[in-house]
Amino acid sequence: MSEHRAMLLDMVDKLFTKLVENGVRDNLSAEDFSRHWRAIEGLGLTRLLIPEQAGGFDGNWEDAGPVFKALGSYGITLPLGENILAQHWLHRLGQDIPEGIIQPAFAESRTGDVLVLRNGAGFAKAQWIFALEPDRWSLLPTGNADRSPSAKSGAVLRCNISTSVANGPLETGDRAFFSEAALMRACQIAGATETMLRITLGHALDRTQFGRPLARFQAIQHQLAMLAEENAAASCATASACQAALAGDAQFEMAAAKFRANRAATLAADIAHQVHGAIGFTREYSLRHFSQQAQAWAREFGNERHWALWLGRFALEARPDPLWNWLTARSDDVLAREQRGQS
Amino acid sequence: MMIPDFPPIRVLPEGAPERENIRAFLDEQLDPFSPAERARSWSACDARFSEELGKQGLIGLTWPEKFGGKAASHLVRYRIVEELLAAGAPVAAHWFADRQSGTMLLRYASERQKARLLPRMAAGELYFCIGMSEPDSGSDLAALRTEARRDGEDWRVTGSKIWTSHAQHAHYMIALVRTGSDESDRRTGLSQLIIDLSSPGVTIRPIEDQTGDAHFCEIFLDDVLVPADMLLGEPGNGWAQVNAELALERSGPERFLSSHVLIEEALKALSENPSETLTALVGHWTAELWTLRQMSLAVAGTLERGGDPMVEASIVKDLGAQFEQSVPRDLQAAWDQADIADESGELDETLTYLVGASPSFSLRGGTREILRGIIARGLGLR
Ligand SMILES: Cc1cc2nc3c(=O)[nH]c(=O)nc-3n(C[C@H](O)[C@H](O)[C@H](O)COP(=O)(O)OP(=O)(O)OC[C@H]3O[C@@H](n4cnc5c(N)ncnc54)[C@H](O)[C@@H]3O)c2cc1C
Repeated sequence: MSEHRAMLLDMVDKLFTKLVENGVRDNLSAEDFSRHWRAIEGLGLTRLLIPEQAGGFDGNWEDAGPVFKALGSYGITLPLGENILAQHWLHRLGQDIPEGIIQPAFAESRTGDVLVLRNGAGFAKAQWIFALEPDRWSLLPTGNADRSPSAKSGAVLRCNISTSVANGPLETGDRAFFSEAALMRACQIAGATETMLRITLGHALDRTQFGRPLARFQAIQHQLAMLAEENAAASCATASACQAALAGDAQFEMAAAKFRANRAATLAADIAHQVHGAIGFTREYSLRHFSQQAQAWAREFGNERHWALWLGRFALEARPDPLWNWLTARSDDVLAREQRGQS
Repeated sequence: MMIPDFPPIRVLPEGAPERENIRAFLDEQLDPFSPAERARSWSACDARFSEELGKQGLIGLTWPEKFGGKAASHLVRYRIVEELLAAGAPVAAHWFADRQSGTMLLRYASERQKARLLPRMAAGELYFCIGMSEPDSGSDLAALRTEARRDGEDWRVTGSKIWTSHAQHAHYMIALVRTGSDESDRRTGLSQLIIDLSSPGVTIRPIEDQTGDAHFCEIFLDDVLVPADMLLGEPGNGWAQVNAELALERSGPERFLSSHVLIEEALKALSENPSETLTALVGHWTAELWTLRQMSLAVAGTLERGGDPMVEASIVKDLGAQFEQSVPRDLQAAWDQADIADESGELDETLTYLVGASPSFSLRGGTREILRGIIARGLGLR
């Protein structure tokens, strides 16, 4: 690992440890939220993928992946990943980065100048929306948006495009952003499965029943082995997709990583809860910050059905080239580019 | 607490043949084989193919040149092996010699035996089999009873082995046998011998499996003479040696490619725009295959750097077997005549074969339960 990256991850570990001590996982008041967010912004983390000469951290996907993963392993749901990606994209699109929190959102429909956006509860905390249509982007202040009365927790927003402070065509298309956001979520899931594994191992070693620790029962050992397998798959898939993203086009790898991480999220959560027994089901206990959050992340930016169909069409369209041929060609290409980059 | 680690591979195999060249060679060689025959791959023996591969210099690649190898890295071998398996080449004849017996000889055999055996193994002419399991000793390998007694400097072996893959074609077996007895620890007093299967006192009987193939065998050993310099390594060191041997056979591409021929054949037979169920299944396969290959390559990278990824290798094998077993099962469940063109019946035949063969994927080379036990030990649970 480069020194630059080791420093970054060390900084992130310290910051996240502190945030967790200060209650970042609890239900946050607006004030608490701002306090935590200022701590993150103070370190310049939202500028992770912006070049140095533009005042950024000069990071790449192999720096961002571990940061996203750390969000998952610490159980932190602040929209850092979203802001890293939104700032990265705005910079690439030649746009100055505005002050405040940006929420990326995909347009569900457009009638005249009115965009209908749907993107979970994130809008409540954001000052800006980075709105993506299939071939256009716009940056909109949330202040002027109309929160649909029918939608729960502000999940649907109506925005008038005329209020945008900037907009333009999207040459890559909005799916490129969707894939990157999917990989971000996949990394977060991999972090969450790792913590599920750690705390479930700890619990199995501590908790005694029938006069011995749960860890001594073979049925429990095998469950934990399977949890470790799922964590390994999520971790390797996401790290490999970040590696591919750094080398070049990685839409396939991002899709595969999100699909695999989604599967790991549910299998890991199932095992972690079972091994914990009732204590893991309480609000007080920390497991839910990982088990429930991993599954929420699995639903966002493409569930398994979405990515399985996307990957299936990708493989079918590649015919008559055998699956094996393009799969190995892609991975050889990643390594070749990486080696060229180093030399 | 140790969390198993899979750092992505960072290097291309240096000096490896181009995939295109390997594929051109395989296309030509495998033309006469039906898909169901190719699906057998490392369960199918073909002396002519192994010899041809030896001529191409593609066996024993990692061995020193003086023993017929190319002194290539394990990553070079990985590329060749994954191409052979993805294409469904009938590699079983030389498979065990190439994957593990050769390495065991290099580590532990006398110089004379290395010089005598390795070059012919690399030529694809001399085959080895693995004599570990016995009738009363499967997962519990240390319970084995086949015994070797001293006869002067030499050994006399009596007992039996079972499930020995391709023993009927093999020239030699590396057998784990009991050479001493220690009631308190069954693992001491085990040794590895290279047994010449043409020796007097050796009887080999193939056993038909449920698909009708006969690849594994029973071997009876009745006072078989084994010369002193056919002992592998140190007497009494067999347990440690065999565990090192098992590490060579757990994370390779054969642990997730056993159903690959079926995947490629299904893709060929699927219509232009198949049902969502079938499309999603193909998507699922690509994601799993890509992930497993990345994991297996990560372990190969760790091995190449001299690490000891015992737990990671067991993870690859267990997840890989689950995937290989899911492929025929899920294709059968999603099969839809309207979307699949299989006039020749070849896809159906391949599927039927793999439904029959796939239960063995989580038995051979260490069962699912044994692997999970190894992983649990690595996690500090036992
Ligand atoms: C196709 C094929 C090829 C083979 N080739 C070879 C070969 O070339 N050479 C060779 O030596 N062997 C070979 N084997 C044998 C193979 O290694 C054994 O089948 C395997 O080690 C399991 O032993 P067993 O079949 O006796 O099953 P058993 O050990 O009797 O196991 C039966 C079941 O009990 C479970 N079990 C056993 N012990 C435990 C435990 N402690 N905890 C929990 N569950 C347990 C097992 O996981 C399994 O599910 C081959 C097997 C197959 C199927």
